[in-house]
Amino acid sequence: MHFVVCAKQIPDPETPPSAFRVDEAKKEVIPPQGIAPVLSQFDGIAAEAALRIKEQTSGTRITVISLGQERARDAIKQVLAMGADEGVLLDDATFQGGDSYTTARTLAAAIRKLGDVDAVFCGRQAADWDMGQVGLGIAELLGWPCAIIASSVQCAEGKLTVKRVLADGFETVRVPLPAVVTVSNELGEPRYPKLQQIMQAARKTVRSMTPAELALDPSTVGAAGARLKLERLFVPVAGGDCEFMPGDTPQAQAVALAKTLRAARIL
Amino acid sequence: MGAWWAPALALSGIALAGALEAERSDAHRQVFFNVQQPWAVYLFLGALVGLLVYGIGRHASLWALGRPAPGLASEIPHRLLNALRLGLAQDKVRRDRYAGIMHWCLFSSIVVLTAVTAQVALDDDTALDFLHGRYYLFFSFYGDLFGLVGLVGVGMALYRRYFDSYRRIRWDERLEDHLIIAGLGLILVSGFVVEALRIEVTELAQHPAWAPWSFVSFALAKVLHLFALSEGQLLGTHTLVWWGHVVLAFGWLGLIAFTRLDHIFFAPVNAFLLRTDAPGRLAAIEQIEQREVFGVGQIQDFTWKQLFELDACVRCGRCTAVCPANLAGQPLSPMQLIQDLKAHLARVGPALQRAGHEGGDVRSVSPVAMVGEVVADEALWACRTCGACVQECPVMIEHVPTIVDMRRYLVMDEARIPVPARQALEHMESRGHPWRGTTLQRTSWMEGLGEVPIFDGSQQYLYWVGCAGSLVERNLPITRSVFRLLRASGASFGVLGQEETCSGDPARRLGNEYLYQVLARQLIETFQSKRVQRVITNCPHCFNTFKNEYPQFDGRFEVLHHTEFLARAVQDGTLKPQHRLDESLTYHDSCYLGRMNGQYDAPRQIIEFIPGLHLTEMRRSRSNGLCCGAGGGNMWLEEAGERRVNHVRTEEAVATGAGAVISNCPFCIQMFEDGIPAVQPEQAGRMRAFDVAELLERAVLGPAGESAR
Amino acid sequence: MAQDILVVGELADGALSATTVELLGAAVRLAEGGRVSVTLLGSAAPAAAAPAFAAGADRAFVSGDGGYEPFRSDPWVAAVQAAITQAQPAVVLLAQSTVGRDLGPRLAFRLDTAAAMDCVQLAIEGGSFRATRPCFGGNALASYSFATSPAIATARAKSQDALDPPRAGATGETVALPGPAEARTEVTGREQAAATGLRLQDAPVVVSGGRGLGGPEGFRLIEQLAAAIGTHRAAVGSSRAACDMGWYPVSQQVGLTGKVVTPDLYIAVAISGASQHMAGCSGAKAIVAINRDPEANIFKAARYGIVGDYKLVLPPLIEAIRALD
Repeated sequence: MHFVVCAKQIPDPETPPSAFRVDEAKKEVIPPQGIAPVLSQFDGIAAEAALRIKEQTSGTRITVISLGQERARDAIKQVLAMGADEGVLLDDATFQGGDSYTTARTLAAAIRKLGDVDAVFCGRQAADWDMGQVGLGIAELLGWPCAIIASSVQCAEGKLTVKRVLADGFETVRVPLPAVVTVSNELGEPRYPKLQQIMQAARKTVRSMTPAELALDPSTVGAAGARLKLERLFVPVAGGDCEFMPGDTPQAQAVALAKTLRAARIL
Repeated sequence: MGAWWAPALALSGIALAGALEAERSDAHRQVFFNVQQPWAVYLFLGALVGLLVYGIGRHASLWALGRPAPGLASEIPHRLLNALRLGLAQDKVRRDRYAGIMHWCLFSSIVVLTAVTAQVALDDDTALDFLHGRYYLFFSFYGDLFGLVGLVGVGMALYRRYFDSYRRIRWDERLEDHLIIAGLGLILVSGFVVEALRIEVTELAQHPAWAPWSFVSFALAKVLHLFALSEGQLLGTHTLVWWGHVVLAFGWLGLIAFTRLDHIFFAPVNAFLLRTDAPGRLAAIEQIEQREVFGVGQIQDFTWKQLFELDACVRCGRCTAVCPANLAGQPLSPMQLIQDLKAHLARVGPALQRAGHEGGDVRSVSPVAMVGEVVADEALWACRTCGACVQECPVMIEHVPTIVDMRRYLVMDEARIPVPARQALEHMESRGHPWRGTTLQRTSWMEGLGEVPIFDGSQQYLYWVGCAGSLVERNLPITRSVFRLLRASGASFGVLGQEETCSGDPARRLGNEYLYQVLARQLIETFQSKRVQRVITNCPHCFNTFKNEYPQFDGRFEVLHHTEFLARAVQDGTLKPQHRLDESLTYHDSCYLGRMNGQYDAPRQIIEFIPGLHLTEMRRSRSNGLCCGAGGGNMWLEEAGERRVNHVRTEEAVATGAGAVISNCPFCIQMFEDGIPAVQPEQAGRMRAFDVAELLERAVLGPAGESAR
Repeated sequence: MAQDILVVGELADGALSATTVELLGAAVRLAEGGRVSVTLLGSAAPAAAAPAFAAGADRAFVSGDGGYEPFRSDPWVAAVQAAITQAQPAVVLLAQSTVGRDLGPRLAFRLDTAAAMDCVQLAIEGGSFRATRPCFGGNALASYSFATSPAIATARAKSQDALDPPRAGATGETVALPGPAEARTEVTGREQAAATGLRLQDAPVVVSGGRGLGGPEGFRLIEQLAAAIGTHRAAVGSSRAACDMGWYPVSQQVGLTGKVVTPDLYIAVAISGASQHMAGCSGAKAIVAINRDPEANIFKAARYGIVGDYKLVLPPLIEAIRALD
């Protein structure tokens, strides 16, 4: 079987809030000094889901695709080190600056180009913009079924069995292949690559695909094709001042808190 | 070593003087006066030599399975000195005083009595003829003296093994332990009996002036005399006991080939092989990119020196008795680990040899996984790399590198790592620090300090704050204290601020040597491009790796821990602790400043210089200090076992009655901060934890310095 | 300028869900006189039409076919698409729920338009629809306009206000939707999370524990505190870090990828306040933070705070709260 894992490189979500800055004029996040971008955590988990199936199904290949700039190669290498077989980097300038729609459109074209893909694994959402649309978008564009927010994925007899996280529990669904799955953190931590795999990853091929190769009109991808227009990006003003409970001992502070909450009619 | 031989030498000297003073006499003995076919002894000797050659050869063929151990042929004088100091003079054995005395008694007795026996043989069976006259009298004296010394040793050993509640030597007690001690006792007693019988027959009446030189046998002969046995009975008994003595002695020496008695040879050799570089340095994996196997997952991936060490172990349990993990009831016993590896080597070694000869696949020979089954993952992760085991081992086994080699296998070859440790490694890799979830930046500590000089190559020192010093809340005040003190001392220094990255130390201790090398090389490049020559570190872990490990990658810098710099500044008067701090303290030695780098004094000197402080040492301090629990990457591992190490150590600090525990390491401080509320649930009168620099800042800059925080 | 709006309604326990009521309120406000439609699917749908009219809908697209339950996207997409074809709305609103997370993007791609997910503000600015949503783990807010129509947006629970007062007794047009189309996905099992009693999202008080608890045993104190407040009022939550460590069930996770809660009181114990967690609780009317680290981010959002070790603070706090009554 042939799986695709979609991987996105994003500004480090663990950037301390004090170091998070936005250029409101350019409507961009200012990359904080000394904090490198990372693989979106849910995409690492998506790779883990695909690899778990690969381990049990011989002859499974995994291709990791990333839409991003040249440095997104690091994110691809990371998934290759985990055990994926080859990489595709969609770093053409015309691909950049788009929205969920153009991203899904470009990725779907690349997946179509690969030809023999049986399943696509995405993170439940990219941990930067947190939209959670691309997996579903790829499925719609390819006409495939999609199961979102998976906490486990199994593959047997041409179907995926997916345990999904719901607001009040879990649901198990069966989806025929080819299909798209988006994976949530409940699935478990992505594996830590063996050093041998890291070394091998350096030798695995990462190829680029251009809009022409993908038969995509440049006006329908990247910033040119975006349908959502970002009007404003800003950092919200932090909430009110915190009132610290008086008292020299935890006992005194605890009693003060209980009394304060009662006086404010909160308790 | 002199001190330990002194009593025996002194006694022998007095005896020698006495012998020289004695009338020139024809004192001598008929060596085998009553024994028929004494030449049979040479058959025993031949058998013994054969046995030893076979036994050691068998071991050696297993050591040969290991990889080459480079560098052992260097620094020969240093190594010879180690063999003398640690092997012959047993410097480490004496760290346990009782065991030291006991072992010296046994050891010296065996050496001297072997020499005594050899002289008898030489005198009798060669052209040499020296056992007469004054030397004979002296010879008789020291033979008996060391027989007695040996018996004292046997008595001490019997007491400790059978009557004392002393446990560590019984953790892995085997039949051979009883045989060795009982056999030695019988040999010594039978020797005295033989001698007494001979004296009774040949000297008591005939040469009363010679007999008392063999003072123990003489006394025994006097006792025997009371039984008024016939000469026939005496001679018959003599023959029997003599042969019994000989058989026992050779049999006992034969045990060397099969039991832990082999340490007689292996301990001094292992002392010779002992590392000559800093104990805080782990070996670098050379050309790591070109390798296929990174850690040690199979017994043949150890070096032959590591395999040799396994055979040197005598199961004394000293390593385990000082192991912080073991003290807290966690699943690591360094002794058991070494013994398990030794048994594993014996089990799979022969098959490996066969596979090697036949050119088969050596890697698939072992029916069990060495890492995981023979040695549990949990045992490897429980290690704090504190080095207490290595320091205590009387036969110079280096447990820590062996454990880290297996961690390297877990991390780099198997990628089998507990989740928090893996997250710390991933953080070091992608974020350049191990502190997951920190909301601080590398420059957060600078707030409110005025102008903080950035290092640009023009300053004398780089003040290296480190990840813990800048990204962990509790350590920020310490960083600020060191900074204010450096500024007050007038030193020329700068910091790197946002450009700091992890030194790599936690990655190396956790077994990710590759990540360590990447981080270390990167940082060395940064240092070199900024023309850094002298570094003052906040953290003993950075200190150790900069000082002892970066030279492996051509990063050579003069490295000072902040306590070293501050102690110097206090001594030469550039910092004056003028404000009195009335506090009772205890001081905790961090492993990587203390045991690994021998720096016990600088922090204590600072404390001495501060007026009003009262220092009470803990039960374990200086080289006996106990790890705080965070070493070896355990800051990022969940502890498995009965207790947490930091609770054990905090209890020891609390037991001093001091109001504060002082350390020099951001990790130790965090561990105490965590341990104190657990050990002292009542907040009133609770102990506090400080860095030495925080105290010194208050003493130098006054309470204003503190309130400026 | 009046514009027509369609709300994708959801039913919970046989009634209109609270978020649907809120979305209808928002739709009335945004429609500025335009027509507000709602889709109602499932066996309880016919009965829910009247409440939907009271909540602000003018027209209901209804199918009472039980085949729409449980939610599967294929039949739902087809039904909603049919409603959109008839209603031609300028804006389609959904809840950021199990349904909306799935349906929002699907509709966007199927209708060749775009969706903004998890919005907290919906507005008409200069005559066009504007959706504002948190991003970068809640560190920033982004406002979007739409280049295509209809604009699709999912809204976070409790971010919108229901009509107050409701249009009691209002009626509207009911349009029947066909029965469910075939689904490619087959639901083979469901399990309810083992949360006892009060649902996290419904509790007026949430007491949450984080990584700073140091281990699962810390949650015993958290549970005791919730019990002291009252089992009918307080639920226990957890940060993602604590769930990932296995200290507490993931069903109780509060945060961007867990539950978003908007209680009257949120007590965060040993939680540093990473933005991804704050995204799940910043809608609380009051946050109380108990943390050892005075610099912790949580204090920036908290109204009341205690700097201290939870092991020392919670026992007297539990006592003090019990003593209040």
